[in-house]
Amino acid sequence: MIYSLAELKIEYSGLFGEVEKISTEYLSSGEPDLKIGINKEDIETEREIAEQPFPDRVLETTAFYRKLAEFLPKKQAFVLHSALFDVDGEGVAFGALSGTGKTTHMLLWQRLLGDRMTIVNGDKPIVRFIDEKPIAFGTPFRGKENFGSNTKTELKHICFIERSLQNSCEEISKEEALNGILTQVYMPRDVESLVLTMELINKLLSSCKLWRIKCNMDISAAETAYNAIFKEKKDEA
Amino acid sequence: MKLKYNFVTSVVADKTVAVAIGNELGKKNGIIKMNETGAFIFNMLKNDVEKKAIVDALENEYEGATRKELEKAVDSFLAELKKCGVLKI
Repeated sequence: MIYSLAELKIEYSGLFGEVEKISTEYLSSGEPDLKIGINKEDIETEREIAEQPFPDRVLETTAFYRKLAEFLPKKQAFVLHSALFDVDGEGVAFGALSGTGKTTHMLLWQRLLGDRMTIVNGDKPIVRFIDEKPIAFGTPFRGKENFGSNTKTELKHICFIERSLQNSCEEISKEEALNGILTQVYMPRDVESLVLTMELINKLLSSCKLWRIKCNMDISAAETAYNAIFKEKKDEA
Repeated sequence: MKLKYNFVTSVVADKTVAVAIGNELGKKNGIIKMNETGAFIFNMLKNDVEKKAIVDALENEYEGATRKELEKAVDSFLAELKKCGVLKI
């Protein structure tokens, strides 16, 4: 099977058919940019890395995504662990450590904005520089909540979410964003890909506006953040 | 003393960032951020080196700083690396 992910053709042959099952809307054809095969050894490697026991069919999907993520930097792309969505044509990524509430906050934005917002991917979108612009792509790997679609948006805002009783949203510097971004981008084991990834992170930090959002779980949290991030746009209107 | 692992170092957002290569990456503190002086020391630690040699090299590189100040800077940075568990004494 050939799949199109981040406008790259990926040929895949697996063991349990799990990747095929979740990737139907990404089916494509043509000459592959990369061929990925998964064997039993790959499954065992994933089992060692996994923090909890998963069935083999789940480990197959993580093995596939890891092989893809190792290759992506060679095509100016990387996996950004985030909840990523489009608002009026602008891509917004929420990054945070797992369990901080990035999905919860994204859903508050959806309640606030309704049809103006499209979820690209709730967990592991791919960001690829095309014509020097960071384009975020949906992928079949959508996390446990399964939010996302086969769509893309230009990434304009990267937000780091922190839980707080008091809502606030402020623009931060590249240096302030560094810790956050380093933990959200997949770091390849392959040295060449790792070096390229660091270059891409540097480029990403210069290409996007960076924000720190402190939020509770109330709809006012989304209002505060949206008003701060899209203030200029509202002022222009 | 020297670094326990191999690292890739890059400049990101005006900071030097060192990322441990390969399987070591999964270990805690696989990513280390540092300033220019830290990067200079870190680079020397890719080979087996004594503290005195690091201070000597810094003295040649940074005019204007006293030996005592440089020793203090080296001690403080080495302590950070020890805390991260990446230094082999």
